[in-house]
Amino acid sequence: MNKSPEAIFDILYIGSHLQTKLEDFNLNEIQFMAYLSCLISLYDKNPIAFWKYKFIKNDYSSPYSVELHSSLNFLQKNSYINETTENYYQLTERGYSNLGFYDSLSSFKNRKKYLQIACNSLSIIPINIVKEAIRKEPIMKSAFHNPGKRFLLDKETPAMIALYNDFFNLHIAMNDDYNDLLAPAVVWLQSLSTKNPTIND
Amino acid sequence: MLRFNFPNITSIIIENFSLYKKAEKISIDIDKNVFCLVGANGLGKSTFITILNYALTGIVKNPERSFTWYNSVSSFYNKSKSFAASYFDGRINESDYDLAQVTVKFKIADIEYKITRGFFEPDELRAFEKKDNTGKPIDISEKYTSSELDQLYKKHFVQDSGLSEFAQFAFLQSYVFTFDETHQLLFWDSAIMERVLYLFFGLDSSTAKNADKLRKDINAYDSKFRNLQWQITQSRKELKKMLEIDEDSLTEKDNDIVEKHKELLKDFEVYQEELNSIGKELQECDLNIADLSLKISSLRAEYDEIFNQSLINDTPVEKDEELLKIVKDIKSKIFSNEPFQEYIDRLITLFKQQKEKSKYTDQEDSFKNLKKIDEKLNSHIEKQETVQKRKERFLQKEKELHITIEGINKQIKTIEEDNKNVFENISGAKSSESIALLKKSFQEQIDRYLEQKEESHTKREEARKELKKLESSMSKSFVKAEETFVPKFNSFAKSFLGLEIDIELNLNNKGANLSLRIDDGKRKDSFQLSESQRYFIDIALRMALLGIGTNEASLLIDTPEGSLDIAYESRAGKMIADFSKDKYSTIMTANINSSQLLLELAKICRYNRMHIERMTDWTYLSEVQNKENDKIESAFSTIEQLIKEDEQITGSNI
Repeated sequence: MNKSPEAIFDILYIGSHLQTKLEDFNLNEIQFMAYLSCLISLYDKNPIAFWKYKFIKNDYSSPYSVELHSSLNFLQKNSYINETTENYYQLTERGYSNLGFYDSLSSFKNRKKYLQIACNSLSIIPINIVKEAIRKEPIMKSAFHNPGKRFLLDKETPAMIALYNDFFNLHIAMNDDYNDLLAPAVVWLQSLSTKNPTIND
Repeated sequence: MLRFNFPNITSIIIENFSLYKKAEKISIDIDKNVFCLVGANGLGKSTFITILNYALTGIVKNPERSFTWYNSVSSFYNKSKSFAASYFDGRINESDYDLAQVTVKFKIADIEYKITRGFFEPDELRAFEKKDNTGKPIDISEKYTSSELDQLYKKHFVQDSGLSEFAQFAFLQSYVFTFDETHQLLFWDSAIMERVLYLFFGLDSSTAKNADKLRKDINAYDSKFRNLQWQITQSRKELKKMLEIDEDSLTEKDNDIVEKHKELLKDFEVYQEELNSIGKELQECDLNIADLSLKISSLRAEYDEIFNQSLINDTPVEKDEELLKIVKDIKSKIFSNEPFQEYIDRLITLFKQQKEKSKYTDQEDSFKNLKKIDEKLNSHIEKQETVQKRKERFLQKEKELHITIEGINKQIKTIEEDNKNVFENISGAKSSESIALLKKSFQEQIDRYLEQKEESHTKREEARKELKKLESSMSKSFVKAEETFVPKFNSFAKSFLGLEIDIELNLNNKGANLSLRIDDGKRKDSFQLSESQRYFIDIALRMALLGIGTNEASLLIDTPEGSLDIAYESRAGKMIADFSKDKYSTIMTANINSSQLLLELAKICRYNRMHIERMTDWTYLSEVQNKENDKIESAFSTIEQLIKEDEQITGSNI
């Protein structure tokens, strides 16, 4: 069992937001949104280890974390979330009650900031565009071309350097005028989505 | 691989030890695999372990000092001798000073030793007897003085044990064969671990002695190297004094130059002092960061555990995969007309496990606990961030100061070079001794320091090279021993932790070390194990080392259960029972009022292999201890019954 406190919290938190916007959610959407949140935390100058769990690339060129997968199974098995249609879920009353409590803990305060930005970006950009954009960020793009198994966010790979370069340019472009992280996140996602043909093309 | 013979203790006699008020003479035979001394806190259980170690080695380990302070095995042994007197001072009354003594009997291979020591004579023996493996006593002249007896004992001991010096035994007995109240862990103390690895995996015990010396040398050269910079600063100060001159003999312009020069030297001194004080602040910050990070790590492990408890684990019946599988199996067995009782039993076990689990899942309680730990964790993290910020501020300041000092140095040099004639004039003005000569001697001094610095560097590199050679031979020997050592460690550690554990030898600049990889590598760092779990993993390492290094030994464990999770207590008991077989024995102390550890140990070992000694026969209890002791007595009866059941069974069998 690879469930972890952070993965449990992230699923409940992202799940509740997706549910408000889209009625329900699936594992793939959670993986994308959690990965996006993790990238935003890197943009905000946190170290990689801050996110507590890691991602790899799955066979469909999506970010994948085993912690999220196991935690989702656990939550479903113990009725914190219920399956609505095949592979789509909603939070139950028990799920909301636990989320309410975890939300009051200091441990999740710092990561909540990034989950919130990722979820709020959905008010401006539809989720499918967000997914396409993430597939084109330097690390996912490099992983797509690389068949080997490895963690997506690893120190000092050329792709990681390219990602930090993107972030550096973004900082300059935004002129540090924005105190919140939503504007850079949205600008980055939009620029990625219009950048190149998608890797599936 | 069985290169050593370590003592297997068979009896101990403690006489006139004032702390144990009830008994003038305590005589104990240790003829079973497990000897356990039980009693309330404060009665002297840890003291018993210390007495035993003192009897064998003549030293008492100072709990306030880390091994790094001693820097070498022989220095640890020599410097620990004097601590024995201050340790026993408060525990033995004035009137018992000369009478108090301890006698210990032990076997090394089949050779029997018996020694008697006074508590304030670390380098002496009151009696020494040795019988060879046929039981024949060796000749020891009656003319020997007590310190000659001690020398003789050490000589024989070294010869029979296979070690190369007695200090190595004192080190092993204190840090490896004893898990004492200081809880110094091998896995998390690289200085101790390196010495242990050389002893157990080096080519022979003299390699360990060499490696120990080389490591000591490397540290000494390192420290000398650092000290030289300070020496150079001091020389600058001397130069400043040297330039205290007769100012009348100089022109106004010369005076300005000299004044400027003096001022710069003064500035240099001030900034250098500031640099020193920043160095101290940085050290303090590092210490605080390390301390907080340790606390955060152990809290984080606790946090994860309680977080999991906060999630109710009640899978509905229709989703319970394990249950569904058993039902399916029963169905298929019924249809194929095969026996299915085994599956019914599995079903019952599953229900029992689930019932047990549900006992521990009180969500409200775990929410409360989680909140508490969360607050504590957060406060430590905030503190750590504050200290980190402070450290960064000082680092920045240190950097700036280095630049300033370098600038001042350059200015001093320029002034001196540009105004050679002025300073030569000064030398002329100085009545007693020529400045030029003084300057020359000053320069010579600096040159000497530079030379010494270079020499320390070369010597350090040479010693490093030598150590590298030893490291490589030790590494080869470790790989050879892996076949026996790793499975041994794994079987102890796994029976305790229930997880696969990998153990790896790491060699880096800091020296050789063992590291753990638990399960899938996710628990690589120590912080993922709770404090008490770490204790037992460390005990498992000691058991495995003894298992491959010697055919017999006594392991001493002082009140090990600590704050161990109830689920692990019985596992810990099983681990100790697994080790305590044949010629391996465990001498331990315990406060048994709540421990499952002893129950499990008693269940496995029973009458044949375990003896429990109560401290109530040794000393009087205070009111508080009396209250605590009631609980202990009741737990004691339970354990006694367990042991007696076995006795009855054994009796009826006969």
